[in-house]
Amino acid sequence: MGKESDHSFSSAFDCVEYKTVFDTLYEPLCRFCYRYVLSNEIAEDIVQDTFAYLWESWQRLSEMESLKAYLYTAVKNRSLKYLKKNFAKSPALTIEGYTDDIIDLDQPTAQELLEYRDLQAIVEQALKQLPERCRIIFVLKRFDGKTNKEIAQLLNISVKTVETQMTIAIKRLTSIVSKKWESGAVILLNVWISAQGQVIE
Amino acid sequence: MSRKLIEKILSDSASPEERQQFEEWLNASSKNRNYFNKARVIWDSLEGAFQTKKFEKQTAQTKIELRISATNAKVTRLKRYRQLAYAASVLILLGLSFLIWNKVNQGNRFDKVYSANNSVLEVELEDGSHVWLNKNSTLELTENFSQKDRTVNLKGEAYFEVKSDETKPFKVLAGKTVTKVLGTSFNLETDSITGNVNLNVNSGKVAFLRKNRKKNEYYLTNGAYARYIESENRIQVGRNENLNYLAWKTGRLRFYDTPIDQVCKELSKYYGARIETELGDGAILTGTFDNEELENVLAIIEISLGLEIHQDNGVYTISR
Repeated sequence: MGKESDHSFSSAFDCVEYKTVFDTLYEPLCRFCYRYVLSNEIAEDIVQDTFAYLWESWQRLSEMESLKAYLYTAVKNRSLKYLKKNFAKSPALTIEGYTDDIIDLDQPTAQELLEYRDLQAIVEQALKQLPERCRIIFVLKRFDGKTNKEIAQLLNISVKTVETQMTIAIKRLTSIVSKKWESGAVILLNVWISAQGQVIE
Repeated sequence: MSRKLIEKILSDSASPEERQQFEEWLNASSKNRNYFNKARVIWDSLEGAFQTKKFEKQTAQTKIELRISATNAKVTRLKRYRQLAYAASVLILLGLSFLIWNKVNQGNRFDKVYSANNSVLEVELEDGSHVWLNKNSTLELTENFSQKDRTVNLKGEAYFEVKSDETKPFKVLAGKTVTKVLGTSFNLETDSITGNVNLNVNSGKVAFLRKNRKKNEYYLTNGAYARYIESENRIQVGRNENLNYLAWKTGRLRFYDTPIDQVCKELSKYYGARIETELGDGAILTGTFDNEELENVLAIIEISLGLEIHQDNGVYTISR
């Protein structure tokens, strides 16, 4: 391999090691990223960008002990950066105050019911219905395991706001999901019952 | 209270005391248990979230190659102009430090002030919004108004017709309140004595809140009013029943089955005079006055309602 990556290969994917990393990690990284950004396009965009960067620094990075850990960290950092930017951009008008009026009260169609067969799909839909700022806070907490203080620092808001938004997020998720739930998916009922057992102990 | 705790329980960050507090809440009713169970299922369902989602590798490969060649091109160009870039960055740094120095030395945040003393003043702001300032009112614009956001400071009363711009919310600071809008029209009045702030929305949607209180924003649409009551530090909202909140701007006073004591209040405010009555709702007025002199208005009331009006030391008294 030459000193500069573009001298040795006409395409990055001609490099076997690079191609292997891409083949094994592209999709998992996209899924990982999707949890943060909840959008196929943005997730792919972030991961592709990371892979492009990886090739530019291939010489340096390919010698790293754990390329996989590096890639996950890189994608995570980019996702957080994206959320932070998006948080600042999304209107503050929508965070407080509207707690109930955006909830989707429509009965799902038969088609939707099929799609909602699995609980995750329902929760995903519900997550997408949260106001942007509320969702970002929830995602950071749930998927990143950040403490309220860390979230507050990252997004430049008060811990109190984080707490309030988390309460709203859970309240609204619960409300949206149970509406879909009650519309008939039997599988979900089972999940619910087993969870009840788990809680009461 | 305990709803806040749910999140701590779910994320395993509750202290033993909080956990106990939560248990009490949980056992208090089956409704609480039900709610928590749902929340728990949702939380847990996200454990391995989106593991079945599919992403297309083939197109991704092409896109990544494109990105790589784009950055390569950029790198070559940059190398060529590196020296030039150094020179430029020194210049930019110099410029920036001058700007910062300038900003630090400026001190006040508001740089443009409009004031209306004896007559109503109409102002067109840079962003295309129109503001009518009532007598004895001032409007201050933040420096860089309409570049980043649109913030103004109001003392007194003004009617706003805000030009729609979703990227730059329009904010009015008045007394201890903030009114946030995207594009709409509304009237805002501050009372320098009581500190109360009255908001009447004419069209569109407005958010009204107390300064430093991000919580408890009120969203008002046309026909709604909000009043901030300083002595109680609270906001009261309702439908706007006052026909005359824009009288100061339009010159038109309207009354529709209005009790005479209310008429007196509105006339006093509009004409800046003292007009009093002890009749309460013992007389009721319906009628419209268009840019009428006070003397004429009082004469019309006197005749049409069969009342007597006396003037003593500049105070008008309406009686039977």
